[in-house]
Amino acid sequence: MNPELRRNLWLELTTHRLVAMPVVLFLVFVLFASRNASDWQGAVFSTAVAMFIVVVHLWGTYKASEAVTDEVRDRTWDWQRLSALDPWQMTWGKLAGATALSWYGAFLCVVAMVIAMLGGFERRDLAILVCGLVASGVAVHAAALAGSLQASRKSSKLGHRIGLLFFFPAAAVGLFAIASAGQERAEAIEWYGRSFEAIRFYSALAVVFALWAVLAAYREMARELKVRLLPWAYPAFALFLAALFGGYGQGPVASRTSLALSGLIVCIGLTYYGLFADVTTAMSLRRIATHGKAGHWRRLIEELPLWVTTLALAVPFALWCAQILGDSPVLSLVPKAAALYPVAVLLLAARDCGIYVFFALGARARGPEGITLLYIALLSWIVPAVLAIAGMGAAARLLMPFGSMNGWQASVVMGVQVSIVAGLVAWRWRARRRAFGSMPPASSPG
Amino acid sequence: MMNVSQGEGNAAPIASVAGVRFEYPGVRALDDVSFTLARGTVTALVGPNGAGKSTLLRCMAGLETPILGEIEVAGVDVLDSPRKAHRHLGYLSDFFGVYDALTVRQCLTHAGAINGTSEAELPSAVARTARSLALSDRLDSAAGTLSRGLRQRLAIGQALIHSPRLLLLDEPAAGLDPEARHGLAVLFRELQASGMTIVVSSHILAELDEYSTDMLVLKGGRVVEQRSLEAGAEARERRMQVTLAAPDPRAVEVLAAQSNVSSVVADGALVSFALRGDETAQAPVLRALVEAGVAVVAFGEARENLHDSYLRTVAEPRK
Repeated sequence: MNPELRRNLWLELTTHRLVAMPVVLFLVFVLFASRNASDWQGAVFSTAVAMFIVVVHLWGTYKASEAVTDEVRDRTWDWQRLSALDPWQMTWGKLAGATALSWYGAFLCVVAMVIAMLGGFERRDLAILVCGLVASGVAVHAAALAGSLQASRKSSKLGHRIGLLFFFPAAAVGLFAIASAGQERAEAIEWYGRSFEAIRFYSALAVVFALWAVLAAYREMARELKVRLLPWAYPAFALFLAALFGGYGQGPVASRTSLALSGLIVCIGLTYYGLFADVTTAMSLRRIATHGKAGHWRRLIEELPLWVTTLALAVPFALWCAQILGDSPVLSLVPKAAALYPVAVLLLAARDCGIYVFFALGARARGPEGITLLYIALLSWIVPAVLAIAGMGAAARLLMPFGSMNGWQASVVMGVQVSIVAGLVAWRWRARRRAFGSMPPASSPG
Repeated sequence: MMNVSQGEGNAAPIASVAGVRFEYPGVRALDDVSFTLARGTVTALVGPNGAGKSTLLRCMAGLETPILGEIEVAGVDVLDSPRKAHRHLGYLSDFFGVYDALTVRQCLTHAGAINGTSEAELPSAVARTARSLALSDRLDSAAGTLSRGLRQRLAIGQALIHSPRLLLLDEPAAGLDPEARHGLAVLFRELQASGMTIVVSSHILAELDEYSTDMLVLKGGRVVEQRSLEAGAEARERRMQVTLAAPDPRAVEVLAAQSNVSSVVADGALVSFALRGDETAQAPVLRALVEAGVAVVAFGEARENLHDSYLRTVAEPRK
């Protein structure tokens, strides 16, 4: 038996809990059935669906998110990190073990749904519904585990909170499934020109998101256990999201535009998420530089922060968007002069990443998240607004050119800002090297 | 007693650390740290606060990744294959926790299982570990109900239940009463006798002196000294000590006149000196003292005190 699963089962499945769970659920079902005696089957069914969501999607997600943070707080996490278990054993042991009691409750809820149907309640798509509920449950649990693993590596509380945001995208999918759970035939979903029954579409989506979330939890666990992996999954997830959202555009031209725009938006969004949720420290940057200097390219790529991969992936999407916006007669609302805005947006994200790196290279023991957010807010909103109010509109546009300049001008302004930030990063990097003496060449990949 | 399997020849070091560098924001915690650990030794890892002792142990355990350097344990590259290396090493952090809701038996079973002990061997490994740590009568007690000393013993048990070949302990005796500390010293000697190599970081030098065979001194993130504490183990020059009936300046004169004697230090009625040669070289020196009329009460080899040795090392300017 997986040792981590067994440890969790020792903690979670006590006799008291095994008895209390069916008793509590039975009382809830009786309560709602008795309030609607004429249609007790329908009342039991809908109560079972609601209790499934409460037990799995709410309580189970909380338990999954606490699976690692509890251990960090109780100082038992080092024992686990020192174990000989591989990341997959540790991931599924925690995922299934920490949420074991909620899945026990979920099983009882499904039994109640079946009993309601045996009693005469009609529901054709029970299997699809349960599949969607289970998959969305796994998705939110795995995403919560991945988020808590990210959070455990953050030094600042702000970073902790941002790390825990990881489970929100998956939670949104869970909510999709939940939304479609109550109605047997919701309106059809149009995706890449094809029509899908909503509950089937969202259940299938929940299954796919569950796979992505489990992959994310596995990879975060691998990083925590110092198992080295190439960073392909994060940009692959960005491509998946781009393809998913791109499918909602209507018609072939709109689909192409929608795909390009969603690709850029997703890549930029995941870049900001990765920047604040992932760990980028002076140490990790020094290791990357050392590997680069020694020509250990695989090690260098393995150490790359998540945000670098999606920022790089945003480049082709930005150029594609610029080309579409420049050429397409479909988008008559977009003036030609705005065509290079996607490039300016990309440069804005690059500038903000540079600001983060600048502060990460500092001697502060605290994380750079808070100070970076402050400077982004100052440069993007506060100072431009103050300058505009003071009648210095030209100066304001040099800080935030969007809306008041065309795409070319905005790109040039953002390019200058990126150059300044890059210069500051290089200056701080050299200062840090001077402080510790120059780096000797690495002797081997280690 | 545990038996640690010896995969390679005893001559090869059990662990090697080469050129390790580690930095915290604004601080270089380890700077070009290199050393090897001989099999079956108990190394006292000592140094002032902030010297980098805990960081070094965490890097050796594969919990932290240094900027530069290589670490090998039992022939396994810790930075390349940490999971594989963990089968060969045990580590106890200075700030450890135990699973309070689990029983001692469950804690030890879990620790053994996650470190690769087979299901069939687990019950005997748990019983053996509990016996060696005097926890047999507590196996069914919840860990949360144990006293501090017993929790410490349980944590040490978790670190060594899989019979690691290298055991890294960061302040293992912190918070223990004198009796428990003595028990720990006895355990370490038993583990050493079974072939285990142990590194103990501690500020309690008198306690380290009870069981350490080697000393590794860190200062400012650098290794300033690594040597054996066992007299005569490395060199033919041994530290000797003469106890006189009363302070006598002639003792120093006589000793200084011997060709195989150096570094004579007198402290009241105690005179210590370095002697080149084996036991047969002792007799002429003793005879010279007696013939000079020096009242010798005791004459023998002095095992260097770890405390004195440490203070001498850290007080010296960095080489």
